[in-house]
Amino acid sequence: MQTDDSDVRAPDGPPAELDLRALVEAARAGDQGAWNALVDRYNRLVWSVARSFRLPTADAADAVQMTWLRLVENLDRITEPERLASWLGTTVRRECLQHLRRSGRARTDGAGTDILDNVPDDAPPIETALLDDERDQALWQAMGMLGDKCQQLLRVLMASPPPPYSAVAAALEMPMGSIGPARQRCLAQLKKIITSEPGSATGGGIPAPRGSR
Amino acid sequence: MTHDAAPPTDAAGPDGDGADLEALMGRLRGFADHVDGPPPLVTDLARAAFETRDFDAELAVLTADSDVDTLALVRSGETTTAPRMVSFEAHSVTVELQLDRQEIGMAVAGLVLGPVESVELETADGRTPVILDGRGWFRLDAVAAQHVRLRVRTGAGTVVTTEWLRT
Repeated sequence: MQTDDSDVRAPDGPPAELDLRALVEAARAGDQGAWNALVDRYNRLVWSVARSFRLPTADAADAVQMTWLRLVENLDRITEPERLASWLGTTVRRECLQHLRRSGRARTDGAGTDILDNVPDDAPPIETALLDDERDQALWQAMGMLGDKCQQLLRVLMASPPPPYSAVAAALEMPMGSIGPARQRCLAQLKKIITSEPGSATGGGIPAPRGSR
Repeated sequence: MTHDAAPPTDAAGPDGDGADLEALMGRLRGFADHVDGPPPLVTDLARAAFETRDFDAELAVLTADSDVDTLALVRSGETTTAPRMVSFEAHSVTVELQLDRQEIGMAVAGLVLGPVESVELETADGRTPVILDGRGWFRLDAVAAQHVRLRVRTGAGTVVTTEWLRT
């Protein structure tokens, strides 16, 4: 079981934990280039988490910016660089939740016990028009037919580079050991949807149904 | 197999379709940036965040926050428009802030106690001087920013900042 970023490495590069520590130390010393490298490595993960909470673009952008501002102010307190991805996951999660609460968009029926039960459905629909490949269109559209939890999990997992499970666990507040099995279950559901709906391959440009379960 | 961080041990089902599932994951990852990657502006802002780095400042400790139960409140479906109240303590300075969302931006009111030389309100766009009254209070309306922090210079020449705050 993985506990840190150590098995995330650049395709041909050195083990990530080596240059990660060097990058954090260089950023601490004021090196903007090192900071940019950290942003390049993790910004897609942070963005994916914000989108997985179905925040509209402006709110997702704000949550992501706030997350990086918090890293700047806490850079001297990150004593274990290998846990940086988890720290970012926890931080962006907190920013997203605060958005949901403060935006007044969370549902007020109080029925659900899960975060996503209270997430508004006015998030941007899944847009397939950007994809040329019909199979990819069908796949992306099928994502919108998954249950909320699967959509959220896969939305985070599809970030590049593949996020460490420790960061996914922190971002979604899931036990780390449950992520692998949940991932397989969600992918199997996704496969079932695309194989049982051959017509969906022609649905390019039509927003996937939201909230259909 | 993709180069996923933690190769699942249960990838291969009885009918050996684990590879199919991994292929799906690989395709999702392949077009993630294309359909929903971070907008360039978001990446620019993330890089620019580094400019807010304050080498010498002491980060004040957050000692109270009315939003602390955010998670529980979201879970219960509750939202709030009440002002956010936060308290900070540093070695020689204490800061109380009240953030109130307004139609444009926010109102920031507060109390700064200690040997204060000068106070500034910092946003992503820069710093604005804050004038305290004789007892340490201030109020600013229509602060056009999503996030703010207070920056206090003490009589001893040290600098204290709060963490970044939003309404």
